[in-house]
Amino acid sequence: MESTEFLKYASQIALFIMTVAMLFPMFRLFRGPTLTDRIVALDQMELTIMGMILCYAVYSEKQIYLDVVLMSSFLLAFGAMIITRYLFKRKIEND
Amino acid sequence: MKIFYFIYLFLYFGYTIVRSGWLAAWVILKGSRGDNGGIIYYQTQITRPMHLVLFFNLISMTPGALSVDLSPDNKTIHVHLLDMNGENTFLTIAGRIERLLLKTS
Amino acid sequence: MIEIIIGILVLIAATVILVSSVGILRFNNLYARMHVVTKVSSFALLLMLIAVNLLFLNVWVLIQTFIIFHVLIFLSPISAHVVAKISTLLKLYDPQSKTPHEEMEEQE
Repeated sequence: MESTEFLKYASQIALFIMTVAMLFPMFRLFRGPTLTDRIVALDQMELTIMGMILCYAVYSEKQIYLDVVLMSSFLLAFGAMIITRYLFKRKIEND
Repeated sequence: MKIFYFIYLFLYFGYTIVRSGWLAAWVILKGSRGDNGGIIYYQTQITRPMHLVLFFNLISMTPGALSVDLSPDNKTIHVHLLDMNGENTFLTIAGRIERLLLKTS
Repeated sequence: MIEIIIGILVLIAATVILVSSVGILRFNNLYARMHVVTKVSSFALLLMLIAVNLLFLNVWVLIQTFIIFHVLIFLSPISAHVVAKISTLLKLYDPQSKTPHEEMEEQE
């Protein structure tokens, strides 16, 4: 079956491309000028991780990985809010 | 009739996110550094809180616009534009979405 | 035949994610970076979810991907709003000028 082999190769190449794409937000995470740039870079890294898990679900043809992506999307939405909540508290205590 | 407008809004929104994602990716590929941005103030006439929250989220998905803040009297939305030259196209798209939301209420 | 379409969709989605990462690195302004995170990455995840739906062809998978996509659409603008709010409150970025505030950099 040629088409199934094409799917395997395509998902492997896509995993490689996304691994290269992880490097740029990591550079921004180390070198960001301010604190909020680092939060945005963390968001981008988590979105890339979600894409990698979906790509692995295509590669291994198991739909159990979609549960992982579902929970990870909630963590993505609330992670930035939790970090900024502590920043708000620090701002209130300083004033 | 109300459900018909909701379905039309949903389809229009799905078309808009694909177009905005593609346009923002094209801006990156052209080698922009994000220097041309700025903040404009948009006056809304929506009064119901549920529709206001929905409109606030829908603005973030129109091409080249991101809603940043809401004034304390709920009438002015601060919108950040990626390219200040495209202000008129944003105003037409936001006006169309706002008219659709006012029809559904 | 359907596998070839799925493979091409996955490759396009990976390339769009690479483009958005380059945008995170190249933009010099917090608000422009938030544009990239909320729009381009959601577009890439949409392509990837369509590919997963075409592979499995299942109602349960359709419901799960529907929930994932709507969480991405409706909750990522809220988190972007919170980040912009803390940025203007701590005076990290001035929205009209393009450079970061100098005093906060000295404090860090």
